[in-house]
Amino acid sequence: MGERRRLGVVALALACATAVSACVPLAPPPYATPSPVLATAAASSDDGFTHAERIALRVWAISCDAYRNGTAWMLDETHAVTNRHVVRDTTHIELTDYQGREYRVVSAEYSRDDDLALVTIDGTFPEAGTLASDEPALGDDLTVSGYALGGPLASVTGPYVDLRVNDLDPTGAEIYYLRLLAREGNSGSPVTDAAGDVVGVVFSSDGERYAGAVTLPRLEAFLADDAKRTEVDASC
Amino acid sequence: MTEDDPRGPNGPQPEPVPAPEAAQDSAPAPVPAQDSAPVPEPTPAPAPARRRGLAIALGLSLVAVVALAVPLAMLATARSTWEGQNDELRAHVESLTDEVSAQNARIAELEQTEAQLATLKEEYSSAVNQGAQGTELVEELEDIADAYQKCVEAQQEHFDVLRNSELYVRSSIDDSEQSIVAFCDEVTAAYQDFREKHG
Repeated sequence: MGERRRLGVVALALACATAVSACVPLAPPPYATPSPVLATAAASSDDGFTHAERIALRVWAISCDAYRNGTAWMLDETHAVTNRHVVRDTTHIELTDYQGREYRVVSAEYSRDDDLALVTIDGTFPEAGTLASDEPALGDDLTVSGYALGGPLASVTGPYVDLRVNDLDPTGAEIYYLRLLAREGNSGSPVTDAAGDVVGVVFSSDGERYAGAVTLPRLEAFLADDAKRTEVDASC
Repeated sequence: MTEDDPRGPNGPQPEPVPAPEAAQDSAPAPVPAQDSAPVPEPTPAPAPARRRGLAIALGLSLVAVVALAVPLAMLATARSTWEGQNDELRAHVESLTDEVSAQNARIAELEQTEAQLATLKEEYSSAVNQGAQGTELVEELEDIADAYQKCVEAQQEHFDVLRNSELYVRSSIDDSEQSIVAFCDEVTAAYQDFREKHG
């Protein structure tokens, strides 16, 4: 009899334990409510201009028979890159930055192969462009910052649509073909990717929808090889 | 019906039975076994079994009560916890809603500021550019003025030549005049271009 009673008690205890354990899931687990991410000001320049715009310079050059407008961009604190056709055969070159500061050009030299030129300024420039580590991919949005028609400074963005033969120099290197409006005065403008790094240099346009740019590998080759540059002859 | 009614209230009452005599001798008289019918064993009283049954029922009831009480207590606790958490979540949602509203208002302000900044940027660039262009226009005009000055000087020299034409070869005079006219025409054309370009 006593054994049976004990068994009964054990069975009852088990039943109770089962009932209690069945109730355990009823207790809600602790829930930490998520906190919203606080909005912060996007990283940008203090004055509203992009990095590409701040390194873009307005070029005004005088040749023996004409005045020219173009754009250049600072490669480092003393050198700026522009197009060969902007500085070739010029006797005088003036550079002006987005705030109107003027820089005197000490010397200029250009590429024999590509429409690229390197000018040296007197003094130092506070900012410099950064060359991209990779070429843009087809379809990437690229931005051209420069002084179309002699200014004011403006940026236009459009997709990189093709790597094609340069119609102005069919035997030369291929060029980036961009779907955006570049105009006279945009020659020498930096072409930047989404990160703001330079991937090319504008040198041609159909004046409507498309622009051509010197590619990143050609730009790197030009900057790396001093021997292939020709000094601008500043005499008429 | 009266008190005298012998039948009582509900009919005839049983006849009064004489009370059994009190046993004088409590010990039963011995009865010969053969002659008497077997007397059944007196059955044990049912009280202990019933008590045990009652105890078991009571125990089971207690267990049932406990078994119900525990989940009920757990449910009550869970409900209390849920309610507490629910209140907390509602408060948090309200707080988040306020925060989102504030952020939206801030975004709207920032968008407005961004638009204003873009306009200011354009105006600033335009003004800076006008400054740069102004300098260039002055330089271009100075160049044109210098060219006009050269034109005038050349014509002046040519007048002197013409005054003393006998000292010069005629063809040379003509060539010089053509050269001066061409130069002055170029200067005039440059000035016309300038006017057309810059108004």
